[in-house]
Order: sequence, then C-alpha cells, then structure tokens
Amino acid sequence: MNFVVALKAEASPIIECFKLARENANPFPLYTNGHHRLVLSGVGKELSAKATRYLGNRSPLPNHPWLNLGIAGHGCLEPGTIFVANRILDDEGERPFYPTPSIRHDLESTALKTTCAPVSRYPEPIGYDMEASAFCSVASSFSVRELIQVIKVVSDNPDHPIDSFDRSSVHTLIENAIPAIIPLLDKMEEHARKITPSLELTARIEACLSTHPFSETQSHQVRKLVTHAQALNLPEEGVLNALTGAESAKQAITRLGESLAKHRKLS
Amino acid sequence: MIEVIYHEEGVLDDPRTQDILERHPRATLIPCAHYKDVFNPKGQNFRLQKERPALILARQTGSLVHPIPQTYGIGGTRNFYFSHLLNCLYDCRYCFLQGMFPSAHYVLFINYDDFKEEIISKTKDSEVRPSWFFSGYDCDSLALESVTGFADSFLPFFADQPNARLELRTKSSNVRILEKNDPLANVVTAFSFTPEEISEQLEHKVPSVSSRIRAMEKIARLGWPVGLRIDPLIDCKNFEERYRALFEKLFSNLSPEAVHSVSLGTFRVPVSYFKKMEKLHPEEPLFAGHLEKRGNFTGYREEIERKRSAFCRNELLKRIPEEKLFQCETEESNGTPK
Repeated sequence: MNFVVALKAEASPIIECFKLARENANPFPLYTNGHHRLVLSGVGKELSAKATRYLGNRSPLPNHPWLNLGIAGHGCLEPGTIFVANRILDDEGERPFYPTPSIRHDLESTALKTTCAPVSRYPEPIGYDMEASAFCSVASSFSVRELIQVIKVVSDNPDHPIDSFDRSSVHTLIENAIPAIIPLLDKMEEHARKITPSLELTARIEACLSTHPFSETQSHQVRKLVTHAQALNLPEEGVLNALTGAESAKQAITRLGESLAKHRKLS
Repeated sequence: MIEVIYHEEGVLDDPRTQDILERHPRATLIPCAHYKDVFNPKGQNFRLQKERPALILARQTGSLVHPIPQTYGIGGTRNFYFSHLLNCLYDCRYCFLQGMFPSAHYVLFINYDDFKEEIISKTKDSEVRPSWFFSGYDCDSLALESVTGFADSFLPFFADQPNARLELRTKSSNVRILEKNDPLANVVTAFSFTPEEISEQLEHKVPSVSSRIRAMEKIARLGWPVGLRIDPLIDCKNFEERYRALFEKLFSNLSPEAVHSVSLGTFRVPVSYFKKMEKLHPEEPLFAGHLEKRGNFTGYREEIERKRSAFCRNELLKRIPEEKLFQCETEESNGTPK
C-alpha cells in the first residue's frame, strides 16, 4: 500500500497507525514498514506528482494500491466528514479522473477539484484540494485504476472557512478518520491480491526456469506451460520431473508440453 | 444491484434517464461529459470492475445499426446488429467482451428512438426480404431488463414492423416481460446453452441450465418462437455424453413448432482479445485447453472443432429439420457471441 500525503500533520497519524519508520531518502521524506510506504509530498500539484513518481520508481511493483489522503475544503460537507473522491477535476483543465468505484463503503462520495491555490470560496458542492489530480495522473502509470483512490477529510466549508481553520487540528481530523478508512484499505489490498500472480505460481515458474538455460523465447514458453499446469491443477512434482529429465532446454519444453496434453480437457 | 450511475451531462433530463434514476434512488450519481471518459481510459482492470460494475447512461451517436457477417444469420439474408447496451450482467469465462472492452461498466444508450428510426430505415431498404436485427451481441438482451426496459420498449415497436425480425439473445431466466406481452411471430428469443457441468464452471452468475430451460419452455408454450444457441462449443471430458444429455433436456418438453432455429458456434476469439482474457484469468482451465492461433483467432484445434461440431450437428439433426440448423462461423466477426 502506497500513501501519498502532503503534510507531516496529515501523515503522522498514518505513520503511528502502521508503525512506519523513516527511511534515508531524498528528495522526499519516506516512511515504510516493509508493506506500507508513505511519501510526504508537500503542498501542490507539482510536488504531489513528483513525490508519487518518486515513490513509484522506488518500489516499482505493479498493481499495488495507491492512496492520496489528506484534508480538503468542501462546498457542503461538515468539517470532519470523510469522503471518497468519485470524480477528480482540475482547475487547469486536465482531463477528469474517475476512480473506479469497485469497493463498497459507507463513506461520503463526492467530486473533488484540485486547484493551484487554496480556495476561500466554495462555488460548488464538491471538495477542493491541491494535490489529487496530479497524484491520480502519475499513480495511474504504476497501477490499475481500481487501486488508485483519493480520500479526504473535510477541514473547511462555507460556514467554517479556511481562514479560521486551526491547523493544529489536522492531526486529530486524520487520526479520527483512520478507523473508518482502514476497511477500505483492506479491500484495496484484497483487490490487489486478486490480480497479482500467486506466490505459489511465481515460485513454480522460477523453479522450472532454473532447470535449464532457457532462451528468452523458451522462458516465455515455460512460463506459459507452467501457468497452464497450475490451471489444470497438475502437481508440481510432475511438472518438474518433465523438465529435469530432459537433456536440453528444447527437449524439456517438448516433454512438458506432452505431459500436459492429456490433461487439457475441461473437467 | 446498481450502486453507482454515471451519466453524460446531456442525458440527465431524458425521460428514460429520469425513470432509471427514480428506480435507483440510492445510487451515487456522477456526471461526465462523454461516456468514453469513464469507459475508455487505459489501465482499467475488467476483472476487478466486474465485481461491482457501475451503470453509465449515455447517448449513442453515429451509425447505430450495423451489418453482420452473412455466416451469422439464422435464415435471413439481410442481417444487422445493434447495441443499446455494452457489457453483460453475467461473467462467462469464454466471453469475448472481457477482451474487447476496456471496462466492465454497463453502458446503456438511452436514445432508443434513434435506434428504432434506423431499424425502420434499414427495413425499408428492402420491402421484399425481411431484415433481421440482433440485439445481443455486446450484451445479454434480457438480463438487465429491470434496469433498461429494453424489451418493454422494443416489443411493441417490432409488433408494428412486420418486415423486421428481432433476435433477443439471452442467458436470463427472467422472461416476465415476454409473459406479459402477446407473442410476436417476428421476435425470436434465443437462449444460449452449454452442458450443466460446463455452465457451472464457466458461466458465473448465470441462472442454472434447468431454470433457463424452464423459462424457455414457458414462453414457448405462450406462443413465442424460441431459438437455441449451442454456442460456444466447449471441449471437455465426456463431451458427447454431456452434449447429448443437454440436447435431450432441451428438446424433451419443447414443441418442435416452437423452435425457430438452432445454431452451433465454435469457441473462437480474436487473438488480441484472447491475450487479455488469459491475462485476466491465468488460473482458468479453459484457457489451458487444446487451443491454437489460427489467422487472427484463437480457438480449439481444427480437428477438435470439426469433430465436436459434427457430433453436435448429427445429434441435433435427430431432433430438428436441417433448415432450422445453422452453423455460425466467426471468421469475419468479433468473436464468440453471447
């Protein structure tokens, strides 16, 4: 799970919750615990885009969940309300981003407009922030859209404008929101697991590839055959035996293909 | 259940949109400029979206009714398809839609009157030969009826178009809309089947074979012409035994006169779609079958395809006259139809 957060005050409840430790990283502060990674971007689209790219390049694992979490103004929701952005607009005309609503949740769901400067008036009944559009644009080059979400906690609205917002309350706003957000994070992780090749299959493929010096094309063939063997529920031992008993990489592939042939009918 | 509805800004005031929104008062509404802004972006995962697809309400523009390959007909010479809906309620592993569309959201084109106008226009092009219109290429014609009201709108329309024929293709067992309308000789409801054991493995969220057979028998008794679509043929263990048993079940309570047509279709998917399907479900045994790339398509090896088709053809000809049996070839088409 990758978090991109603008302010330290927004990040610290997450850092505490997941027991993240600061890593020696530049130019963006990075906190990790092995499974969760949080980058502190700073305020604004440019920094958010750079920090997201930085985190993505640092741990280039495909199909990991990405979350942009922080505070935001809102045209009608009360301060403290948590919302999931369902349409992310940009005041500089970037194409809207529609995070896929593939996860059921009980939180509010509204549009969010990312602006270049803080908003003191709220012309529409939507959220206003300064990072989300840039985050989504970059995060979508690292993961599928279903795993990219933006969650904000309302800090200000027309009745409680930004000028009167007490910045020392940011930590509390996010901290209070975390219990409601965690189930959504769990679902994102669950979805990520669904589309990530199983560790068992990856290990099987690696074991098979180590049996002979396969060329690039042959490796591709082995990967495919081993995936088929797994789909057909064939025991690993039989697959490995077909490969190890062969005298060459080419013969190994032929043997593996032959051993699969009689199982290829749907049961 | 539809929980999220996107709508093009331009269709919000349309009565059909309003009707759908009234029937989904708790759905989250999200406006968009064009349905493709939501449906087309790269980097969407069809498999994850399929768990909770949203509905997109849009207006289709340009040409709405398209010709289909000659080899796809069921007796007519002027054959067209139209897609008022993209995507399907069901989740069949062999379905080409998951390879063709970037998104699993349902796109409903609410401008039914435009589709009807074009159907009238195509029908008028030939007053001698009837024109066939197939509605279930990019969707299931009946499965989302409670949302779309498609049949409710198009059955009365086709009742007034004696020179037009409509095929409703479905795996739904919900035929209430047909039960509440008088049967029409120019509307064929075609049910797709695979043997029960295959259906259970591959046709996720689809009603059981038995319940679909019951639905088919029910409307046949009411006088609706029905079609049987043995499509796609799936190579499996005990193939002959299973398909023979399926045919026995299908015809045991069906009057021969009620059967308008039976078609056989092989499993063939464009190579690029198949690659996407395989990537979405690498653990799927179907994709580890005796498949090969032939031209632009991936399908069963030719000898398997020929043998399986011939067996089914012979079995079916024991039950129906030859003029009612059609072999659907997919060479020029998108792939295995619904």
